[in-house]
Amino acid sequence: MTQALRGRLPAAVLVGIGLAALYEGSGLSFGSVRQPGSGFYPTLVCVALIVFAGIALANPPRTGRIDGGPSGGHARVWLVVAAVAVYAWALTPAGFLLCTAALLVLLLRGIGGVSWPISLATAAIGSIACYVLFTRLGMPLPTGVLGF
Amino acid sequence: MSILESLALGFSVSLEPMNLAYCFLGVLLGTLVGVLPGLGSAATIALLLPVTYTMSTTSALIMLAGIWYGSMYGGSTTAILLRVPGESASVMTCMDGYEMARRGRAGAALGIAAFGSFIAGTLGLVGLILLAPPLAELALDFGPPEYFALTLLGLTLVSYLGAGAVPKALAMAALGLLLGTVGLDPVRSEARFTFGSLTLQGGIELIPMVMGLFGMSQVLLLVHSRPVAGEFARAPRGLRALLPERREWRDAAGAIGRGSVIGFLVGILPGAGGTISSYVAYALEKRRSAHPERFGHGAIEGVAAPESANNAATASGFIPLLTLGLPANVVMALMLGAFMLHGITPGPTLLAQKPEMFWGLITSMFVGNLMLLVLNLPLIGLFAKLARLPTPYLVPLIAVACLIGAYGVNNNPFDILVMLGFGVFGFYAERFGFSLAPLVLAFVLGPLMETSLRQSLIISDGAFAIFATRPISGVLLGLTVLMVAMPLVRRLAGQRAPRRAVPPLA
Repeated sequence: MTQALRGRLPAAVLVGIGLAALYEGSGLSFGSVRQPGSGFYPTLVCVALIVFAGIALANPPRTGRIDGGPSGGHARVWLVVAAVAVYAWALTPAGFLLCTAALLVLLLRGIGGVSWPISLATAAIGSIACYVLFTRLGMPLPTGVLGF
Repeated sequence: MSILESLALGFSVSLEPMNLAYCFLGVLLGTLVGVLPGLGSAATIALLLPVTYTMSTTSALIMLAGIWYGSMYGGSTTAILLRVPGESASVMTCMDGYEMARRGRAGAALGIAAFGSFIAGTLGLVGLILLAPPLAELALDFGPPEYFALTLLGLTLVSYLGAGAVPKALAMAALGLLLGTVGLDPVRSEARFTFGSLTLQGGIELIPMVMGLFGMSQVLLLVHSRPVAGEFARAPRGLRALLPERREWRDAAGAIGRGSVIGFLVGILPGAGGTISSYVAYALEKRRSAHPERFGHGAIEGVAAPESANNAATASGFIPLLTLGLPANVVMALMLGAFMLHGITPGPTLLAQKPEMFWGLITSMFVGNLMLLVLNLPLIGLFAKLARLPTPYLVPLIAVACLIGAYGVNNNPFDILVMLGFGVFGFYAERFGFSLAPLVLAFVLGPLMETSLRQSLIISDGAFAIFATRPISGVLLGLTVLMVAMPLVRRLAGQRAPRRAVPPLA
């Protein structure tokens, strides 16, 4: 992707969101200026979003952090995103302790390059410490297969 | 009730043993998150908000406020010793603070930052005490048109004063307003943008959003970039090393005073807060200095001014929230959330209805500032060590905090996915230079803006003139128009007049 195109992409996405919301909101009752309906305000906001994002689209940044970043950067980012998504899906059935320990091992060993023994020990201690601290503070965390 | 009686009432609340303990916990946590880059005060307050369910409202507010102003103290430690700003408000402190540290004056830089912060925080609180009651009285006259004009001015200010290009900031504010409409219509209870989901009918939760935008996005940014080991300045040993010399005190005194005033005034403005105030205070000191070339090379005024400004701004940032019920920044939006969580709506009636809470919170900040001074000076070496926590350990720490914070809102894993979505959005927004603060503030202010707009139009039978003809809303609207028109006028004037050289900030 060229630098110019990359600079315009976020504003284009915002324009797209504005247009999609305008379409989705068209089903809501607009009412009138005297009696504004449910769709009155969202329509105004969508128009504002399209206009401002359109101005940003017409004036892409000349400088800024829009480089690709270090090699493998995006792969690591999407690995973490996928891991957190799986964490959310598995949290209730597997429980907080197992899920958190597994995620910590991935982040420490897989992403951070910390040695296996330290990763495993930190993951075990960290997840248990969080569980004890937050359940003591009154936050019920899912017990899952371990039962506690 | 006179101010002295009010203060006595406030201290009787804030000096209760339980409140003292929560105040200490808050400032300690604040210092820690200020020291650790990545985990900011907003994400920490969002994490702890669900935990405050079981606490008394006053204790919860005292603790959460302590996290905020404590983080300002912590941020300066890493800025001076590591050239890493723990908080964005400490960016300017890096420039001269780190240079002082490299020249063996780390102790004086840390000392002046701590003393300056304490003095400015105290002066800011005096301003808050003097200004809040009359402003709350004035706010009693506010109706829907005034609230609409005020929210419009707030969102315009946050877009114009924040970092980055104005159209991008305005687009983010509009997106925030749009996200604020998800759920049931506040007037007719019609579902909007819910796509048939029952979970979305309650709207998007603020906490997962903040955890994602300000916490998870930092995780992704840290994971994306390969961290480079920084050069650390040696932390001073012993309290004596933290005391600035007489000459340094003389140089810094004026900067502390001016920084306090600037910080206080800028901190009231929506979206400006500690970061902008520290920039303005630094720029002013440099411009009025007889030796501006010293700035960036270890000038003590370059540490004193921004640190004083950001601490004064934390105090004045409470004014719009406590008197009008409107948050001036993201942290205040979370504080608003804390009030609402306990069934209290901050605003003009808070002072009359809950004076013990109002004054208890304010006086706790005096106590907290004193605690921070006592805590920071002897423990600077320890905080400096903590600041060197390697990124491989920092990433899991922030990630787990975000996961627990998001899950804890409703004990629902769906909120983790919401947090993750906003994390990815925040990651790309940061990389492409889109400011996140307008989005969050607009999201928080959006429902009030919509309700007041619709009520105003119903009251006036569809006449938009209602916003201009009522004195307070007319003035607020005029200020908004002025704010928008000024850059355009300046640009036109710039095209006609020959360009003049502007001295660089740094």
